Amino acid sequence: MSGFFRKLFNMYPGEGKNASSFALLGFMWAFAVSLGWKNADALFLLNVGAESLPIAYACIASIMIGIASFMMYAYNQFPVHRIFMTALIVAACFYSFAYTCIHYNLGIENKWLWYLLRIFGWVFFTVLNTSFWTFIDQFYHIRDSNRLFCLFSSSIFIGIALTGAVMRSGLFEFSEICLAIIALFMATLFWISRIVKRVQPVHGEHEIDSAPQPSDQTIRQALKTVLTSKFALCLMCFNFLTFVSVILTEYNYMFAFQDHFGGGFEQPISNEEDAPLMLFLGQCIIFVSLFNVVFGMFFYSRFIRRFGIGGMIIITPLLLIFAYSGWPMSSTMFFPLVLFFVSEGTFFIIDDSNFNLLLNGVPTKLKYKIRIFIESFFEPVGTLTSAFLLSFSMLDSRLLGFLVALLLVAVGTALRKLYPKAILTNLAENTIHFEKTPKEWLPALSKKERKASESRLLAILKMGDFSAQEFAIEGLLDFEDPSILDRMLAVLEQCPAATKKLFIAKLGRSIFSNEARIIERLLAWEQEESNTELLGPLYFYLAKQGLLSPQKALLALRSSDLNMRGAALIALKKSPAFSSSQVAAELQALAAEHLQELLGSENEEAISVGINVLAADANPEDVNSLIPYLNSESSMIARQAAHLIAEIATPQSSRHARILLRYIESQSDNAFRLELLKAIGKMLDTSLVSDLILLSLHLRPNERRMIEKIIIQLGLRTVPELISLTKDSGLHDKCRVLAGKILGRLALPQLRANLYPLIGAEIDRALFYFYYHHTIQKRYPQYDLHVLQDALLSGYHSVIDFIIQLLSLSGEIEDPELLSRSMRSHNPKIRSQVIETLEKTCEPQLFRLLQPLVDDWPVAEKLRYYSQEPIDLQALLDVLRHSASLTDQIASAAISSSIKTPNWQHTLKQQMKGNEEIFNHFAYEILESKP
Amino acid sequence: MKHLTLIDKAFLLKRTPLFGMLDFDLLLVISDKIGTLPLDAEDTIFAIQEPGTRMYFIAKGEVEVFDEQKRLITTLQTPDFFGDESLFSDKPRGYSARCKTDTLLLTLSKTNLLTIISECPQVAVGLLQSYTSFHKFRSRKEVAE
Repeated sequence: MSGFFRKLFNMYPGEGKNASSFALLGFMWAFAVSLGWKNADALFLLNVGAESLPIAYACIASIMIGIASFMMYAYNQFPVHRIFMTALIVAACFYSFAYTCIHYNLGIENKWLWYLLRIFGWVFFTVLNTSFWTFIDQFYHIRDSNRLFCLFSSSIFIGIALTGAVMRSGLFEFSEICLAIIALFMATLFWISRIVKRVQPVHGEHEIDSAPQPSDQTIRQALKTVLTSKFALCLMCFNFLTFVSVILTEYNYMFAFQDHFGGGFEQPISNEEDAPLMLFLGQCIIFVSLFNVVFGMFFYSRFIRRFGIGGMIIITPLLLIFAYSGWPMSSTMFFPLVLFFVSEGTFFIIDDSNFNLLLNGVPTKLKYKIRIFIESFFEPVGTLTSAFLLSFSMLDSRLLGFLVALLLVAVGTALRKLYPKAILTNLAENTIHFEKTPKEWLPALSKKERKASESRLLAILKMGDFSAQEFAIEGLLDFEDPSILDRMLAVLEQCPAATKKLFIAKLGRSIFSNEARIIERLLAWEQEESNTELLGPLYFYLAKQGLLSPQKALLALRSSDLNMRGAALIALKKSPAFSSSQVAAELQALAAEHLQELLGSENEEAISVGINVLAADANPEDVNSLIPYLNSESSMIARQAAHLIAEIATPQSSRHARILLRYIESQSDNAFRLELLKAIGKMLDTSLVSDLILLSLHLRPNERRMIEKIIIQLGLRTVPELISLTKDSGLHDKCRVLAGKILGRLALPQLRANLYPLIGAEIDRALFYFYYHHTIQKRYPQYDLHVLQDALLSGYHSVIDFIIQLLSLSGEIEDPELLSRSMRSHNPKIRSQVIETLEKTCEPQLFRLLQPLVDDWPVAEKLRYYSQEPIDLQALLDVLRHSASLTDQIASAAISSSIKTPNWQHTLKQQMKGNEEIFNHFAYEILESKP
Repeated sequence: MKHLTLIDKAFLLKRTPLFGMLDFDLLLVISDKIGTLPLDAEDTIFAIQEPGTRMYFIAKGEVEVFDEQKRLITTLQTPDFFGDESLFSDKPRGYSARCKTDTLLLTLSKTNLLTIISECPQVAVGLLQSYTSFHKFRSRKEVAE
């Protein structure tokens, strides 16, 4: 029976208890508040009249603006449940006051009590509604919200429906209703404190420690975040229009009802429960609330799954257009009733529920603020705007309603388009953009921030120690802002020689290397400086720019300082610019002789200078002579050689490419590898695609990014090979993903065309791992199979990673690793965002295949999706032995040896032939330990 | 306390033993993910047994570290860091941390720390160096889950 209810309400095992608690909470506050609000509506119409509604709307708006500001402050200061409880206490006090007034006939004659009830009925509904959803949001993530929030909405409508029934029955005086409201509020208070004690919230990453969240978001920044989020702006606009529309709709149908039940005004106040309008309203409320309950409980989440949030957004606007365009052609109550249905039905059950889902697309840090801002601030402003518009008697309220509905369709369509990207943007908040250069940060800074940053760097350069000065020089050069050069040079003037030397070293790789102002200053330093510590690098730099004369060079050639000698060699090699051809030839021969001496030296520094001299020529022919230095024991020389090869490589150097690949494989130095990859990139050799992809398995993220860049540069000729690499299940998943990623960038349609069979096969693989991870130990309790279980789980995660990354690529998601990384997060909120993103970006049929694996379904449910005939342990070990994954192979070998499968030693020896070194080491250990 | 720019944060990171060896461009990228947390003297940063999701770098001020009996284990100051152990062990905080003076902390989430380590192995080396430098409070047993 409980299984039936779980299915009916889309719940997973174990969720029922908490979900019922929240549903009961929703019912209690909604029943209490709607008893006050809906009775106040009817009493207002009976005792004051619809023509005074704009005054009530204006009052509601003014009060809500104040309350919204207070709530924004309060949510930053106090826990959500405290705010919720405080609102309930204030509401209970208000209805105690109302009860006293009715009891002593206060405010009835001059009607202020009806205004108060009408105004605060609305205010309490809004405040408690916001508090309830903000409270609930702490306990559920986006995927749970998709399934369960409609249940909570329904519980609210049961409360409202019951209100309708109470009104329709006409059994109770309003004073008695006030007492019931107070009692219900007290019960709700008790229930909240019970939930807080018993249910654990689902925290975001930053929401746990005692210390508050980092306070980086100033009001200005928060505003900037909102203004730069198209989705947040669109959502706010949509909600503002919705609130305007709610009031216009209510005004229109209320007027129609009043016209229809004109006699209601003549009814004496003491008999208000018997007034036809009151009874009619009660009846309508019951029907619409019942619709809300049924739709919310059984249809909303199913519709969301079928049509997505995008389809649900425009239902209400379309209904409004239908009602407003049809009304002029009919004098019956049909169209006013449609408006009533929209106002009391779809606005709540569809648009409110949509809003709770759409909120997941606004920037995470501002989620609660935007909720309060929209619900508490936009509602009154929307109400005020409607009141203002309705106060112009020349404007037709129905035409206004129609126009606002048209606007709603337009904004809703935009919102629908922006939602998937907004979800991904929130997820990407965790991404670190390592590829971003300092120059790219500049546009993100305001003018003031930029100035402050530059001044800070200059201050560090002036006052800091050597390491700080290095930071400042890197920063000032990396920002590539010519406007700070003069100030930087002025500060450098006061710095010691070591800092100036550092500056010269960094200058060579900056965009300012040929800047006239800098060269001028270096020439001045050359004149003033006598310290060879600085003169060496200075001469070297000037020589590279062709600014060192042969005369000076000949003098420098006799210097004991290696940098001075290197500078002299560069100057002599460039001598044709200064001398006659015969003299130049002699000088160049002299330079060549000295250069060979440096390069052939055993002194590291001399070789380094020699390579730098070669670099000044940038001759592609030198690649051959530089390759031996890649083997140098000195990492400095190896890096320098790699850098120079990267500088001078051309497509003609491609014969060296495979040698460079071997060096990349054998060295672990990141800078060295990047330089060699850069060199390979310049060789433009399409035959290297497969080697590069295979090599990527052992490389770091930035090295893999470099490979990606290289192959993309090679262009469409690489597509057939990339397709075959992506499909090759014998390759490691990491390599396949990289091939797929590049394929996606180069030829997305080809990737998509091959995706369906590819993903289908991978899902089968994932289910295989998942099934045996959960079942194998139970089937063989006599063995210890935890190693096998771990390997199967790891295999499962690896396949899921692969699938998610491929789907991300086909969905044109910029950072596919972001999704797979986030999917491994312990935080359910982050995981749910990944699934939501996949659902919104990949093909629906593909997502349906993947859903059982990625959604937080119970294990038993997931296991049902494995449709193959189960195999025994021996067969499972055979499958793993032939897997491309090293983990699978090792697990298979380990278990085979521990449970002593027949011929395990022979099989293991066979497996060692041609296998990776790591596996063979492991196999030797097993063979030696088990005689 | 004045708002810290990206450069300020990058410079503060450069002074820490963990990120000191990184270049300016990487520091800038990491700074973008760093939160700042100004706290008053006596403020609790985290308590024992709380789950940990971020680590802290002291940019200014002093932080006291206490054991479960509320005995002072050590006092940390610029450029020390703390709160990283729970991020790796997935266990609750094994010590509590409180500000001794007005303090400015830089915070880094677990997700971001792990991403940085995978991109910049030097950071992992920095962590290992810090663990081997034997801080009394680091050698404490983790509180059981």
